[in-house]
Amino acid sequence: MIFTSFEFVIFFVLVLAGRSLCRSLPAEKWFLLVASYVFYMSWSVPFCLLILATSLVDFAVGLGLGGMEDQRKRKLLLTVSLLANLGVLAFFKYTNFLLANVESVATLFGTHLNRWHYDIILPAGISFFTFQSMSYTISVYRRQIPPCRSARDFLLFVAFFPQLLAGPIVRAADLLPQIYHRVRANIYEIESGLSQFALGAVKKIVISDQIAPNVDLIFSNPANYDGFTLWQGVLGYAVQIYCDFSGYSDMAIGCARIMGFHFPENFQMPYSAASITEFWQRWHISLSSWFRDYLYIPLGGNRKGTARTYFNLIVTMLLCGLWHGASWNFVLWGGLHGLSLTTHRLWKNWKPLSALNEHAAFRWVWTPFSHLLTLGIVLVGWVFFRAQSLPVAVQYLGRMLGWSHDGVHLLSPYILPAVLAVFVTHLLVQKDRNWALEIPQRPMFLRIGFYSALVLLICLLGVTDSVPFIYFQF
Amino acid sequence: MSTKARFVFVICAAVLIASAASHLISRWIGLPQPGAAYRRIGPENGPQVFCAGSSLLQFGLAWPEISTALGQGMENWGIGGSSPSEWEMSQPLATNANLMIIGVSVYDLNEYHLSNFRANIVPLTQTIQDLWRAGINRQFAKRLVSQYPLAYMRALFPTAGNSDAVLVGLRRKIPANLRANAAAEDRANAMVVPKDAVMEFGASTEKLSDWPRAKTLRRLALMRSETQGVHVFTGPKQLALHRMLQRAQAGGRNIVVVLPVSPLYVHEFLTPEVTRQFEASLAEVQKNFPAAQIVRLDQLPALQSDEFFSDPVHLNGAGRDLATAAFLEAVKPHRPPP
Repeated sequence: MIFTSFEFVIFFVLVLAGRSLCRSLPAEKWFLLVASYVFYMSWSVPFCLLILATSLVDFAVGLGLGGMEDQRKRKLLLTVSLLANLGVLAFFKYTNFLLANVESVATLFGTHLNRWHYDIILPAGISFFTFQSMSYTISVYRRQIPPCRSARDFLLFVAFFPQLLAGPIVRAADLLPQIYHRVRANIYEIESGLSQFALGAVKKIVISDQIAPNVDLIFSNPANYDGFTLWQGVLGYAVQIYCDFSGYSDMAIGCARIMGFHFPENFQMPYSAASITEFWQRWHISLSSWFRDYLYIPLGGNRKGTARTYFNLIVTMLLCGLWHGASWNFVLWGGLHGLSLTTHRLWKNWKPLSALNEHAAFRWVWTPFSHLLTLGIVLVGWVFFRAQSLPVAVQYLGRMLGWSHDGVHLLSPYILPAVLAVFVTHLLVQKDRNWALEIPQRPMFLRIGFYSALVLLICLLGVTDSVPFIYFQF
Repeated sequence: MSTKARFVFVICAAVLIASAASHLISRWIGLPQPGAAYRRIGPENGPQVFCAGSSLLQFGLAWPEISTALGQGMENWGIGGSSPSEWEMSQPLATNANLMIIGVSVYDLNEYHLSNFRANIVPLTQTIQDLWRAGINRQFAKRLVSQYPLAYMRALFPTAGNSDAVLVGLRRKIPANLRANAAAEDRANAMVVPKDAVMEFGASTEKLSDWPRAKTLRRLALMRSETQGVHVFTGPKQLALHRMLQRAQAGGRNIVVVLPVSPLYVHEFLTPEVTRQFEASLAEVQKNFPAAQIVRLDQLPALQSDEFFSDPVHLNGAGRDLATAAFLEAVKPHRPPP
């Protein structure tokens, strides 16, 4: 059941109706919990038990941490939670990757091993719910939040359906208090939730799903196409993945707001970033801040000297890459971003830069160049992210950057208009504006115009065959 | 006006404006309307021939010639991108038929290839029964059933779920208004369904073999995304085909024409396993309905070239002439006396 399907619309209307019939707060919470598990069961019934088991472990660890003063025992309890979550993640996501690498290393040393491969089905949303659950135990361990005393509330925090499958990864400190108290949306929140949901649907079914077949075509066999077409392919993928994932986040945030819950924003015009550091402050914000707070800072952050800071940045981004998928492509993608972040930090700390920045002429040249450079790095990264294998990615980049003239010249009628629309929006719209929140405060005729345009776009150009979101595979 | 009333007004007004715009655009670009278009040719007196098939059959044979050769009038209820599930619904309308010509192919018997108007034509109960009997996978069943709410939504927004047709319509319409010559050239090559109720379909001069590689790749990508690259021949379409043959058997003769698809399509989509499954489904038809005559135009050596196709699945004018001659030759021994 994905957000853009009729099934989900029916499910969501039933949830709203059912919730409004609940007389007491406990009844409402039980209802939302059951609804969330029913939602997950539309993907997989047996894996519900997995969410239940990991949630119960973390709930018990949280309770234990709350009543314990001995620091050694507290550390041990936290280790139990981390091992349970990371163990589940490692088993389902990385077993085959690990075995394939062991086999390759053994072959390198002249030992032939029989090919190991297990048919392991990746539970939908596993990377998201394990991270969300871990953030709770770490926060309780750090005494940033008190432990949750109700198993029902904690299960609902982990499994709450709008964010269960692909985030945003909502911190316990943000969501648990909303679960403890009865929240209800007012008319403004319902309208802004609806408009954010509709905006997300436009991004997903009008832009992302519409250009996906053409992008897939180009990436399926890059050797077939000339340099222009390959540039078009990677620009198309940049737009496809942005609209797909930010569309999902918008719909999740919109659904939650209609019910009165507030989730943090996950994307803020990432392609308008003037540096790779800024890009990560605008792209998948809930994940990048998770890695910052629970990995980069515990590693020492920038408090242990320059060399250690760069090391920490690269390690964090390599693991962020690996989080996205069990393949060297993702590790390289993370590595590229890690290197770019360290280079940017070096550049920012370069003393003559502050003097140069005072010259208007320098800024005039540097500002557009920094935007283009950032976009260039991001695009090169997307090639590793999307290509089927490392050799294909290298081949793709070689032909694209070399502006190869041989091969088919494909001019997609969908990709270029979509790329233009998304990039112009990124350039023209103020970076931190949130239309969904602003529109309900505008005059009536503007609201009617905006909403009818969204509905018309969906009804004219929306792809109705439910295409799963790209981030579901992570 | 209270805040709540203002909110309701805004939402209703937005939906109404979008609905009006959707209706206007649909009319402007000439979006195909749900429902079957009745066409006929030949003498109206005496028993008629009921022709059931998609555009592959309509454009694949020269109906005036066939009607003359058979000496009978012919009737057809055409539906865009249709298959046995939809044709079955028009079978009871052919009350005076003593012969059924049913055109099938590996393309339109593929269960994963769905007509946009299926939900407008096939009752939901029939679909559920067929899905139950065929035991088809859950994902596909969901795809099929979700066509029904979409069909209801189309009363308000006729363009909903029809983005390919909208984009094609816009691309055809906008140059038509901007550049008259280019549009005229497009029209000369396009396969246009006749507006009159006559079973005479234009002969396209376009050749798939002349298509630029980029256009071919784009079309194949679209076809692949529509069917998810899957070919399955057991499901609601197969059940509907068997029911049609069963009913027609009681009323007269049956001819099943197996229409060809281009060598390009065969190369891109038909693995040996898919071909085996298709042959198995035809063998089952032959086994269950031994009286039905199966005409295998798909095995005609003369048509094994992209030169005879106007796109990956439709025959062009030259291909149609070859197919018609072969069809008439195959049905000749059964021709009724003049």
